[in-house]
Amino acid sequence: MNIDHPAFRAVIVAIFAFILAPIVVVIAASVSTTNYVSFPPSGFTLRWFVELVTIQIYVDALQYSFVVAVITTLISLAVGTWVALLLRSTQKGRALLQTLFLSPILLPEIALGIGLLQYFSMIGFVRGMIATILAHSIICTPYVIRSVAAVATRLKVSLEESALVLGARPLRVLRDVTIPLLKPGLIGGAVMAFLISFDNVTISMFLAAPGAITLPALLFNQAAESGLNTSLAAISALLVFFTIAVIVLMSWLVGLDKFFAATASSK
Amino acid sequence: MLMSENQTQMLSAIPRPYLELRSVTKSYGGTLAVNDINLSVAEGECLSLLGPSGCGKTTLLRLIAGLAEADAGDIICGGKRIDGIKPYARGFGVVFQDYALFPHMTVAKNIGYGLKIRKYPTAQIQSDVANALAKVGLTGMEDRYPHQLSGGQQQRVALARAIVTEPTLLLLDEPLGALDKNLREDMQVELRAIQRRLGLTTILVTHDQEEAMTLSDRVAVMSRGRIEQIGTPRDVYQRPSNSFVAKFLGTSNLLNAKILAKETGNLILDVQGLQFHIATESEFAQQGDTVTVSIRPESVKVAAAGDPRGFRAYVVGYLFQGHRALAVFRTSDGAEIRAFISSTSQALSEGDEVSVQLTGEACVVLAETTSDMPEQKMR
Repeated sequence: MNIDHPAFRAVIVAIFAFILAPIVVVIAASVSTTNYVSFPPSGFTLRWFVELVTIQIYVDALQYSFVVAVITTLISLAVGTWVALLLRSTQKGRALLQTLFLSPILLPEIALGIGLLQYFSMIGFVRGMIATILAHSIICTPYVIRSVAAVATRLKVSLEESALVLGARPLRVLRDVTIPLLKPGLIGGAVMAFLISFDNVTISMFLAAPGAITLPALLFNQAAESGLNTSLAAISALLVFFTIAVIVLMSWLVGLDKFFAATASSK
Repeated sequence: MLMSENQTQMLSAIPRPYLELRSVTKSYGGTLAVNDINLSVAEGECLSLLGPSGCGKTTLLRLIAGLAEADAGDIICGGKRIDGIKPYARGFGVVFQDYALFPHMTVAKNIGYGLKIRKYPTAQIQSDVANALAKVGLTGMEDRYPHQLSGGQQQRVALARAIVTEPTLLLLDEPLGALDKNLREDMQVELRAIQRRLGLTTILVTHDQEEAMTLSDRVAVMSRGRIEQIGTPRDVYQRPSNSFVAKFLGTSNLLNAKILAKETGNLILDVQGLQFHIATESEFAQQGDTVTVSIRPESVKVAAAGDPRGFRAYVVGYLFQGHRALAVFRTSDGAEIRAFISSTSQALSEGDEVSVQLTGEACVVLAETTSDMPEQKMR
């Protein structure tokens, strides 16, 4: 099978078009002058974007999403890095440990959402920000683990041993040697964690409480209740732009090839 | 046993050893990596741990550095037991096989790392780093990063980093392994000079017997977790205590010898019909036994065919090696003997007959007895 064959290329283009089509539709629809979503859009206006600022629930939800995502990222980074380093130094139980910590990825989010909802209410935990952050952390940590572990396995132990022998205590070694050298993995993992948390719908919906709902969950609810209006399209378009911006930033900081190498390989 | 006699001799020969290992043992999984090792290192001496991979030499080095804990035994340094002391508190310098330079730090920061940990003032760190760089011949390289340096330069930075903190003991793991031959020889000379100049007690791990002999005051030959022999390079090379040591250090011919007579301190041997004396302290051999003797190729004399002072052998190989030639002979009963001969003398052809001469001074009786022809391998 020749990759340069025009038929093959045509197939690839078609696949990409299929994947990207919904995004294009949403962005196009967001500039329509009509109140309801129409594609192709009639007219061009940016008023829906401007008006977004005035819609309080959107602003609140955006803020909430952001806070949740940031805290989730921090927790996932801390736990994920610790687990990745633990995996590096374990020989015997490694496969088991790996499966255990990466398992949240394998579970369907609905199942996880329902389970967590039940579990939290069983232990008297109320829905809302803390519950959402915890749930997000559970699904985001595996990505951090994979991202950091990919870099950690290439980190020679002799580097840390050198620091030890030169007089640095273990925490100092972590600070001076391990963490700086894990940076690409940490950044890649942080970005993955942030985006997964920020864009998450299912679990966020299960654990939302009045006034404490993430933006994607809110949009989904609104779409279900009142149908698709252009404001929804506008904010969706904004989310797309934001995600693209984050990825561009990260590729500039770390290099896209490194990022995908880090997350694609699983040990 | 010959080996422990040797060791006890060595132990008591060092009046106040700087480092002592007593019955040190370490297993990984079910295997004994280090098996009841006893060793003494004098202050200022350079000792090599020499052996094939898997013999336990690196494990032993790591035990001394504190990067691993012994299962049994004691490690005593300067009179104090250091087994429980963490690697960051032992004050030793270590150069790893892969140099382990911090890739995200400049040469200056790498070398100054140990000093920074010890909270030396910046000005002093700067001057100490500059001094260390001068000692290894890399002045001016402060701001380079490790990936910008050649292998030899990296190795020297690693060395500078290890010695700048003025450690009491220097541990080197295959320090010259990654360098090419010419560079290695130069570095051997430099390393020896630095070690001598600083008077630093040094333990060096290597599988390269030439390196061990060039750099160290004493060599400890290891195999399978045990020390087979410790001695000066000359001792270990010329008087190997068993066939492992004989074969590991340089090429060796191992021949069967029949003991014709035994006197105190002396044996009369018969090798291929040639009879000669050999002085030896070995107690185990008896008249009538067959023992293995080892003789180095450079000590074998080759004379013209028919010369009565040697035994008959035929040429089976001749290799010109530049500064010398290696000739391989075989006797009528299949014993193979290798000899180094001058490359300026006439080349030999296959099938030529010669007379191979051995003398008692050049031979060593080895600790094991064999009944069959020992295999001989060129290193």
